[in-house]
Amino acid sequence: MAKRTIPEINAGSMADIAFLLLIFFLVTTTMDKDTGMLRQMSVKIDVPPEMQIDVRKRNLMKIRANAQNQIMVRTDLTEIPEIKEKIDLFYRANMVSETDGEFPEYLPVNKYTCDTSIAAIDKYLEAVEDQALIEFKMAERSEWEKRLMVINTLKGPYREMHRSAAIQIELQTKTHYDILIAIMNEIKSAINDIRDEKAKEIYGIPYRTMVQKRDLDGKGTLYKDEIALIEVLVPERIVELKPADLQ
Amino acid sequence: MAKFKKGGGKASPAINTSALPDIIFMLLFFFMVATTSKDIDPMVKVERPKSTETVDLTPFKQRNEIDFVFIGKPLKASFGDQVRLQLDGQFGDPENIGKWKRVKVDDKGAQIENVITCLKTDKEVGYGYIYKVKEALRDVKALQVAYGAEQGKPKY
Repeated sequence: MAKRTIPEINAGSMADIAFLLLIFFLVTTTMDKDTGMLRQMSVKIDVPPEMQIDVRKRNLMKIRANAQNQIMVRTDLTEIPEIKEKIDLFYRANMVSETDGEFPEYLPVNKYTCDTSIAAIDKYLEAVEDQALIEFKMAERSEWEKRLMVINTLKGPYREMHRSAAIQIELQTKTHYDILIAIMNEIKSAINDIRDEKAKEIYGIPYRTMVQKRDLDGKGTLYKDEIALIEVLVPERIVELKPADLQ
Repeated sequence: MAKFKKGGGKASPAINTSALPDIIFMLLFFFMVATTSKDIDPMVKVERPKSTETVDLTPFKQRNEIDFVFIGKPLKASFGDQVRLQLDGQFGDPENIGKWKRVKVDDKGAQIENVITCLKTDKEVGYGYIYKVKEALRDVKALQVAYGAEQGKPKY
């Protein structure tokens, strides 16, 4: 029998093939990740005048910016890095006890207030027909249910920032997008700092870490209840107003 | 002295390149893992502002719960110098976005409330334009919006 030798396969062009693939991937992909700031807008409905609430001055934090990049917080001309401090004060001034009449009041929430409010909404829902109003009231009802959940988890009442307290952002049509992002960044970092503190107090982990872990979790259910609780305790209510000079 | 040969015919030995493909493959795998595919070619100039409080949108992308919209001035001068929207591969205006969004959501078979719209906006776009886009989205009940921003320290 003749011995057969298998000839060696020339692998010299393997590198070229790999190079081709490599260059293909370099061209069709990007390194930068998609990141952004999430915002939840409200439903557009016509609220009847008797249901509109009067927001008192102390419960409002109005931030305005013009096209020249000048910023006003309430009545003071402010630089961007100073906004964070002011938001922080807005949240913390009366958090533990009522001390300052210029900032939002904190109201105690207990099981009784939750139960009566839910009962009142249910009674109202029986009588009303308008679909948009029903949706509006249902949203309010779910808010109360969330509060009830907080009371059950904390095993007792808690103090809550006034329900009409909000941060309003009013910009002009020509105000640049990066100013909006800079203001949002200050507000969010102030709120997230307070949330971090609260979360550490209750669960021993900062809020931001919980959110990061939830996002890495495939289903997005990790720490879901904990995050919801912190978000009820330290609410984020940011309202973007229509630019006054928009036709 | 015959110890040193004066030889002209000595060739240098061939370099062994059999490990070269392995090295290239390693690079290839690194890039495959570390990058994400570009699905839309931007037609407008978008320079993102920086923020430290951003959320990673990749999980939403994987779950198919997000659409991207670009807002900025066209890259090609022939399309004018007005701020425009880019809806997938086409230019659009705030009036078109509602219809576009609905088609996108229907294709996914999802609920419109659950699909985020990410506005990848250029730094210098005026807020008036963004507001119009947001109102148009609000009209079709696409209430979840993400402002595109890069993770990093803002310059202010």
